[in-house]
Amino acid sequence: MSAPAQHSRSWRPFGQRWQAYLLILPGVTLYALFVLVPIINTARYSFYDWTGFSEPTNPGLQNYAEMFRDPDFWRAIGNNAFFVIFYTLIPILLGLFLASILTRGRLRGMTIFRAGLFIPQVMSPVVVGIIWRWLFTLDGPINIFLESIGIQGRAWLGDFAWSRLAVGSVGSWVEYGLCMVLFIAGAQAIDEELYDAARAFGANRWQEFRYVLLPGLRQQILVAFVLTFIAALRVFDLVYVLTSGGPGKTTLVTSLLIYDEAFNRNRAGYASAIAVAIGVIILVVSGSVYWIQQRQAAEEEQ
Amino acid sequence: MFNTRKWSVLLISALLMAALALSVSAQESITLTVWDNFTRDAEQAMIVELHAQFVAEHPEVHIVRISYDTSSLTDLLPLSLASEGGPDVVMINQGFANMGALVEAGLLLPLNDYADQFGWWDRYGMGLHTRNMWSADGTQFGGDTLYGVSNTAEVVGVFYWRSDFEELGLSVPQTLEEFETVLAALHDAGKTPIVFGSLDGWPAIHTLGAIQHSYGTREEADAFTFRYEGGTYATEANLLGAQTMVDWVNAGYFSPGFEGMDYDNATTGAFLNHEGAMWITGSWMAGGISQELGEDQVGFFLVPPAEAGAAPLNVGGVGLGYGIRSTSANPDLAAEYIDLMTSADAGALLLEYGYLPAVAVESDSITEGTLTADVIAAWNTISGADAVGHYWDWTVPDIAAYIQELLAGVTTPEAFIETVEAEYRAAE
Amino acid sequence: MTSRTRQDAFSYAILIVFLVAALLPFIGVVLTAFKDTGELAAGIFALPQQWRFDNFAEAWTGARFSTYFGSSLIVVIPVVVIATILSTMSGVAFGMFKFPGANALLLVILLGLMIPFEAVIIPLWQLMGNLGLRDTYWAVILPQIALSFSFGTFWMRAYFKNFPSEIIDAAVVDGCTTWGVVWRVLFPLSMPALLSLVVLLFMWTWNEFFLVLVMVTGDLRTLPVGLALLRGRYATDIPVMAAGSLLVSLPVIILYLFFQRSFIRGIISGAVKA
Repeated sequence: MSAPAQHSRSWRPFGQRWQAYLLILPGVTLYALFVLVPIINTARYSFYDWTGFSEPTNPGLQNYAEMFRDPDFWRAIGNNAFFVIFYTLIPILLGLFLASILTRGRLRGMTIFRAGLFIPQVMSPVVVGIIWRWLFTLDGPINIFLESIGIQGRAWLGDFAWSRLAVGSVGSWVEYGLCMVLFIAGAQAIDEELYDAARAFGANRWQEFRYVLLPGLRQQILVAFVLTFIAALRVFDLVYVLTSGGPGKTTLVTSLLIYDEAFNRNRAGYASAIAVAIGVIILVVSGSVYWIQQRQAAEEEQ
Repeated sequence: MFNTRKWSVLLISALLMAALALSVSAQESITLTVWDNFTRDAEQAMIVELHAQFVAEHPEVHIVRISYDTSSLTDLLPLSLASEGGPDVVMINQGFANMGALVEAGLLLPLNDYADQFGWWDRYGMGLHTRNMWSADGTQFGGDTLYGVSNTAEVVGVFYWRSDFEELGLSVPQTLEEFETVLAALHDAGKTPIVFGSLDGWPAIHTLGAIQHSYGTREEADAFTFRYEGGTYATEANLLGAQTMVDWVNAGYFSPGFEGMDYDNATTGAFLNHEGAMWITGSWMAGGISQELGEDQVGFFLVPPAEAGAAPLNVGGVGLGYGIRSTSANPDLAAEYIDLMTSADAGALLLEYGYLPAVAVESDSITEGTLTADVIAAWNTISGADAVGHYWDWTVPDIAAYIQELLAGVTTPEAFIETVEAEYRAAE
Repeated sequence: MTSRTRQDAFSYAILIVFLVAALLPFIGVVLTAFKDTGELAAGIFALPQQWRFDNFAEAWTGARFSTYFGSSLIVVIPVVVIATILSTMSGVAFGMFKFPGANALLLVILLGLMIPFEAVIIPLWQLMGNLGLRDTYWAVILPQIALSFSFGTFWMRAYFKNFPSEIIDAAVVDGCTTWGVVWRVLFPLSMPALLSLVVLLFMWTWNEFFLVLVMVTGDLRTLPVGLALLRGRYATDIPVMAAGSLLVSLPVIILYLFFQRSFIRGIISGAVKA
C-alpha cells in the first residue's frame, strides 16, 4: 500500500497552540450557540414535565422512569436496531460488492454508473415515499415481478409480518449509493501494484477482494459505518412518508416517537428524554467503534 | 483578524435586518396576521376576494396571511401562539391535543361575547358548535366557552358509481342490512364493493367509525368524545361495528391489498378508475371527483342506521375553527375577520371551490341529481337532525394503529375494544 | 481474453440491474409529472397521454416555487460557503495541531451529528425568539452553518490528518508563515476534498424541511416546505407533487452530476482517511 508519509504532528509551523484555538474559534462559537445550547436545553428539559410551550414544572427523573416502562419506546429502539441491518450492514456489503466490480479492470461508462447509482441518495424523501408506496402495492411492479418467478405477492408496506423488511429495503436502496461512492473512491487510491502482485501470486477474485480491496478500504468502511449507523438511529423522513410507523406500530422508530410526543401530544419533556437516550446510544456505539479502530491502526503502525 | 471581520459582517447584517423590520412595523397601518390551511392555488382567488371585502371596510388594515398544510399548522400553533408577535387569527384543529391544550395554556381568547355580538351561534347548530367549545380551563371538551368558529363542514358517507347500481338494479340502502345486501350483490357480480386503503391509518378511522356510528347513539358518541361521565369506548355498538368491518374484510368486500394502499394515490386512483363500486370517505372528495368525472356519474349517500327508522348518526363535523390568540393586540378586528370568513357570502364562495360550507347556503344554485346536490342533501339531513358524529382519534390518537391490527386479524374485535378503552382511560 | 470479456459482461449485467433499480423510481416521477390526475390509475410507468407542462407551471407559479427557489438559494449559498470555510479551519486545527483538549472538543463538536433533531428544535426556536431572529433568514442560516460545521469538521479533519508533510515542509523552507501555509498551500490543495464537502452540505441544506418550517413563514420558506404545501387538506394532487418534487430535486442532481468527478476525487484524496 502507498503508505502515506508519516508526519510528526507538531512540526514547526503548527507548533503554536493558540493558532489552533484561533482556527477553531469562529466555528465553535456558532456551534456552541446554535447547536450546543439547544442540546443542553433539551437535556435539561428532559428532567421536567413540559408541553413545549409552557413553563417546565415538576423536576425529577419521571420522564426517564416512564421511558423504561414505555413499550412503545422499546419497540421503537428495537426497530431502530433492526434498521441498522438495512441502513448500515446491507449498504456497506452492497457498496463493497459494487465497488469491487466498478474498480476492477477498465470498464467503459463508469461515470454513468457512478452518477446513476448515487441518485437515490440525492432524491427528496417525500418523492421516494410516494414512489415506493406504489411499487409495493398488491398489484404493483414488485409483485408482478415476483409472481412471474412464482412467488406470491402481498401488500408489503401494510403487512404486519413484512412492513419492517419493506421499509428497511427502501433504506438500503437510499444508503448504498453513499457507501458505494466512498468505497470506489477509496479503491481508486489503492496502488495498482498490489493488484498486480496479488495476480502474480495467482490470487482469485475473492482473494483479491479479501487481501487487497478490503484492507485498503478500512477507513472508508469506518466512515460509512458511522454515517449510516447515525442515519439508522435518527431515521425519520423515510419511515414517516412510507408507513408513519404502521401498520399497527410495526415500523415505529424513536424519532417518530419523539416527534409524536413533542408535537402531537404536547409532551416535549418526555420527547427530550428519548432524544437524550438516542444521543447516548449513538455516542457510545460510534465512539467505541472509532476507538477500537484507532487502537488497531496504532498497533499496526508499531 | 479574519474572524473578527466575519463576525462584524454577521453582526452588522443582523442589525440591518432588525432595523428594517422595525421600520416596517413603525408604519401607520395595523397588521392582522392570519394562519390558515388554504394552501391550494385555486383557493387563493377565494381568499383574495374575501380579503378585498375586508380591506374595503378597513383600509388601515394590512392582512398578512400565512398558509400551512394542516399537519404543519397543527405542529406549529402552540409554539407561535405562546410567543410574542404570534398570529392574531389562527385555524385550530379540534380535540384534546390541539384546541384543548391551547385553551388549557390560556393561549386562546373566549369568543362567547363576539358570538353574541355577531350572531355566530346561528351560523350552524349547537351540536356543531360544541366541537369548538371547552370549559375555560381547557379540561372539559364540549364545555360552555367558545374558542373557534368553522367555515367548512364534512360528513363521511358513501360515494358510489351510479352505473353499477343501475346495472344490478340496486337502490340506495336505508338500513345497514340493506347495505350488506348491496355489498353482497356487488361482490357476486365480480366487482370490488368498497374501494379502501388503510396504509395511512386515518382513512381506516373514518371507515370503521362510519360503521360503528351506524349502530351507535348520539349520547354514547358524545359521552366518549367529550369525556362526559360514563364515557366509554366499550359499547355494544362499537363492538358490533368492529365485528362487522372484520366480517366485510373476510368476505372480500374491500379492495384486495387494501393494507398497502395509501389514500392520495392508490385509493383515490382506484375509485376514479372505477376499480370498485363504492368508497366510504369524506365529503371533501366531492370537489375532486366531480372535477375528474363530472357531476352525474357518481352519487353520495349516508351510511344508513342499523335499524330501519332509527335516528341517523354519521361521522362528520366542522373543519378547523378560526380562533383568536389571547394576547392579540387587535381582537375586535380579528373577530370581524372571522365574521367575514364564516359568513354566508364566504360559504357560497367555499361551495364554488368544492368545499361543503358549515353555514347553510342558498340551494337554488344547486342542480338536482348531481353529486354536489347529494352531498349537500346528506349534510342537511344530519346537521338538521343533530346527527353529526365524531372522529375517534380526537380522544385516542393512536387508534389508527389499533384498527390496522384489527383489520389484519392481529387482534380480535373484543381485544381491539379493550386496547382502545385502556388508552382512553390512561389519558384521563 | 474471452474469460476477461465474459467477466466484463458479467460486471456490466450486475451494474445495469442496479442502475435500473436506482433510476426506475426517478423515471416514475418524471413520467408522473407530465400526467393528468385521471391518468394515475394506469400505473406510474404508463406513458402520459400527452407531454403536458401544466404541472410544472402550476408548481412554479401557482404554488410559488419561484419565490421559494429564491429563498433556497439565499439560505444555501451562505450556509455552504461559510460552513465550508469554518470546517476547513477547524479541520486544519484538529488534523494538524496537537493541543490540549483536542479530543474532548472534537467529541463535543460531533455531538451535533448524534442527537435526533426533532427534539432540539423547540429549544432552538426559543433561542431564535430571544435573539429576535425568528422569521428572518438568519434563523435558518445560523443553525445550518453550526450543524454543517459539525459534519464538516469530521470530514476535513480526516483529510488534513493525512496531508503529506513534505509539501508543508517545503513551503516552510520557502519562508511561508503558518497562515501562509494554511491559505496558500492547504486551502488550494484541498480543493477536491472541499468540493466533496460542498456537494454534501449543499444536498443536506437544500433538502432540510423541519428547521425551515418552524423558523420562517411566508416568502422566506424554502422549496421543501413549498412542496409540503402542495399536500391538500385531505387529498393531494399527485402529478403537481411529482413536478414539484422534480423542481426541488433537480438542482441537487445537477450539482452532483456536475461535480461528480471532483466529488470522487475529493474522497480519494483522503477526506475519509483517518
